[in-house]
Amino acid sequence: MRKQIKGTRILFPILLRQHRLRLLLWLAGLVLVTCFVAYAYPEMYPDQASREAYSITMENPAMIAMLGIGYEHYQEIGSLFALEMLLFSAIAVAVMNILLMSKLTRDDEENGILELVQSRSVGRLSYLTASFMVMLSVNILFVILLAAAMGSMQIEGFGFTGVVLYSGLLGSFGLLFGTMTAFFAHFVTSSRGTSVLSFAALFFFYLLRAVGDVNVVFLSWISPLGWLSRAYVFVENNVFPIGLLLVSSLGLGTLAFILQSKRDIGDGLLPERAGSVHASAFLKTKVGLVMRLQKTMIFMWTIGILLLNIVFALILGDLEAFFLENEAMQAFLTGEGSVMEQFIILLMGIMALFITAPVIISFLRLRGEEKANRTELVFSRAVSRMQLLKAYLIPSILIAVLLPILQAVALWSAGAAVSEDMMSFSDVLGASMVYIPALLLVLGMAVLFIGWLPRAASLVWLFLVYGFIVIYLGDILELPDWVRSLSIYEHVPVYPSEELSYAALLILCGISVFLLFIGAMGYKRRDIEG
Amino acid sequence: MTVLQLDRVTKKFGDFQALDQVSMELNKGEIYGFIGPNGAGKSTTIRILLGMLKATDGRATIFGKDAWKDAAEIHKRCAYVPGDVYVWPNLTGGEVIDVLLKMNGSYSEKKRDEWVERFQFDPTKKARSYSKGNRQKIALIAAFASEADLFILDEPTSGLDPLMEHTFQQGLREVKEAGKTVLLSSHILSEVEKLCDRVAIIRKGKIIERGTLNDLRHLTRMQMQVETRESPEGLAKLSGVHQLEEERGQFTFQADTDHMEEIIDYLNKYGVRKMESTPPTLEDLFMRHYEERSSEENA
Ligand SMILES: Nc1ncnc2c1ncn2[C@@H]1O[C@H](COP(=O)(O)OP(=O)(O)OP(=O)(O)O)[C@@H](O)[C@H]1O
Ligand SMILES: [Mg+2]
Repeated sequence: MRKQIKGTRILFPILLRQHRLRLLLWLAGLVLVTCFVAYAYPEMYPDQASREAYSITMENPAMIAMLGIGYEHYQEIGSLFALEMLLFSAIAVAVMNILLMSKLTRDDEENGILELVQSRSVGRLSYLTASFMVMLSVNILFVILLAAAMGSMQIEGFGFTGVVLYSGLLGSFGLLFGTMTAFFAHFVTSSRGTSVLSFAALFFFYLLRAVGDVNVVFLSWISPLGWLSRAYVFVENNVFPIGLLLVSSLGLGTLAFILQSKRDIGDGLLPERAGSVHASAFLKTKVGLVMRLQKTMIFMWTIGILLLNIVFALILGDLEAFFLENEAMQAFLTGEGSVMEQFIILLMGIMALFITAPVIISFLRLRGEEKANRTELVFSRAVSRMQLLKAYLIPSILIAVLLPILQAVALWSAGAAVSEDMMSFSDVLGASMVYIPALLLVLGMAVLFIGWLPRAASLVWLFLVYGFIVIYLGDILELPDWVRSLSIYEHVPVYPSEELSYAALLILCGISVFLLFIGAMGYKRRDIEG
Repeated sequence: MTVLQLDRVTKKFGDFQALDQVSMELNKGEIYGFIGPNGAGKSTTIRILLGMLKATDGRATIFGKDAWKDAAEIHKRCAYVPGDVYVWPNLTGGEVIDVLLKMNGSYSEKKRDEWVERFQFDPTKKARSYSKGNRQKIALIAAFASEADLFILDEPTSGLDPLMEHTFQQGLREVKEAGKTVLLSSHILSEVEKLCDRVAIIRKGKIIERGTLNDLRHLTRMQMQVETRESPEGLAKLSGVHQLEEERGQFTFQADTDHMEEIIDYLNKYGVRKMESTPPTLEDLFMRHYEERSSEENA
């Protein structure tokens, strides 16, 4: 055993240094956002009446599907906070761990770093051990930082045991997903494949829990995300979910180590098919090539977004029943239109953010290809800058236009199947499609970056992150209007509850075309790196 | 007829001057060697020719067209092979070759298959699993199988085994026979020596020497080995003689080519028994150039 992990002590600090900046930013972001939100809670729900109102809102199936099961009583302010924050913070921590571990395992293997290290007097399991140590340290550090920060704020209703448990849950959830990523890394041969598998698992567990929490309880017990809310943190403070998370991490971790010691370097356990000798006619077109390179990504996102819509559509019936039973609830409906309409409008707002992701990913691949030195060979053929740019724009535009339409179809047909008075198809379609110009605007921004500031291209993601913060935390943090209006998505007209403003849509479209044009000019003029 | 022309091309990356007034002309049907140490600016020159980098100053033209503005047009008749070939990991080698060929319009399947055969390339595997040499073959096959009039090759054989290297050289000769033009940047000087009609040497972004191999040789020294009846006193003092050494009556030295006549006249007086002269290899030329330059710089 000793022999197997020889050299770990040298590798660990190197790997840690490699990733420290990114990790520190992640940790700082997670801790700060959590603390801000926690700080805001006591003021938002100052008295028992407002907490009861909150509990009624949270009992509705849509909320349960989105955020998990609620608590019996909301005596402790912390429990309100936990219901709203625990699940999504856990997802954020998992994302951090997935990105970290797929870099530390498959990515380093793919880039030949592992081979180089392995050629020295270093044990077969050392690299993986060091990677695990990095991941473990990050999660432990996160737990300590978060517990210390939240604890020191001494907010009323946030008992210290609860704070520690809350942090511990997040840390162990991160650990589980880091471990799971290391486990998946053995099956495919690319880091992209590794993170795709891990994200798919995370998403799958989310859906499982959503269905489970609303209807079929045992499904929630299969999903690690379902365990989190069973801790009833800040009220009952059950520790066993942490136990479950740690035990499953241990199991998966052991498997990951066993597989590592058995597998050849560079190999994946899933079989690779022998490929075709000739390219198909579709692949030989430029757009075809780009689509082929992105097909897994596009497929995964499409399936994910459609499933999410279907899951939410299935609870529409429950949602209505719930509102009919609770007459008191009617008072809390602030916006115009029926419950279902308001819910669908909110849902479409959130889904627009999700759809932004594949649009950005798809287009930024152009930059990824350049960084991987793969555009050089393309431009050495009779392909102009504009032709390649166009070949990348077409799939992104198709995603931005077709996904909203598809999701409307999915949402409406599933909704119509379970609920008698589903909104009209044209209204659902409209509610979804109003976001297309905003999606195109973000795409325009991406083109602008690729054209003029390619090195900073990933900053485009900030538009998405910011949009998410505004929608999800805007009310909690009481962001002023001008701060909200910095988010592109806030400029989308609310349809169907308000009159459709074509002017606003046209302005958004106009700006996107303008950005696209300026960006393309930059791309035409600049040096190509590789 | 001039196929490719660089006219005082300068390239700056920020403050760093990568190319300084590089000029070069390739005539139709010739193989032009382009050599220089690491980081001298060969790839940068080639990327300007390919329209990937914009020259800070000067003009690059191919087939009389501007290399930057008309890049896509020019590339229809142009093939490029880089030293490190990066291709899409989840396509097969065969698919990549087809995709690259198709980007230039129609192509001959027969020619493609012929070159796949000649390079003994297995096109069924995913590109991620190919070795460096095999990835290079992808670009070489796509180049040789296309209807190009100009080949721009940047260390195209750095990963090939000797057998494949031979196939490559054979291919290049056929290309030349067909009247096509080749720009070959390479660190394998024997390859350049064997194939190239003319050579340019670049160093720190400047062309420091250019011409046919013979021209270049004239600028330098022959390696001489002489045995004479009597010991040639004073040979060392003769101008044009360098690094004279004696071993059991055998004299070895280097002789400046422009002093060759005097040296031979002088030696004849001592009764030459045996004389051998070897022209400097490109490698000697190359080394000499850098040694001299660096000693000049140090002085
Ligand atoms: N994008 C860039 N930004 C800054 N400097 C660059 C860039 N590209 C190349 N250089 C610098 O320009 C110089 C010339 O590089 P180039 O790649 O042309 O050398 P080369 O002659 O091809 O060398 P080699 O034989 O190693 O391939 C190097 O010093 C390199 O560091
Ligand atoms: Mg080079």
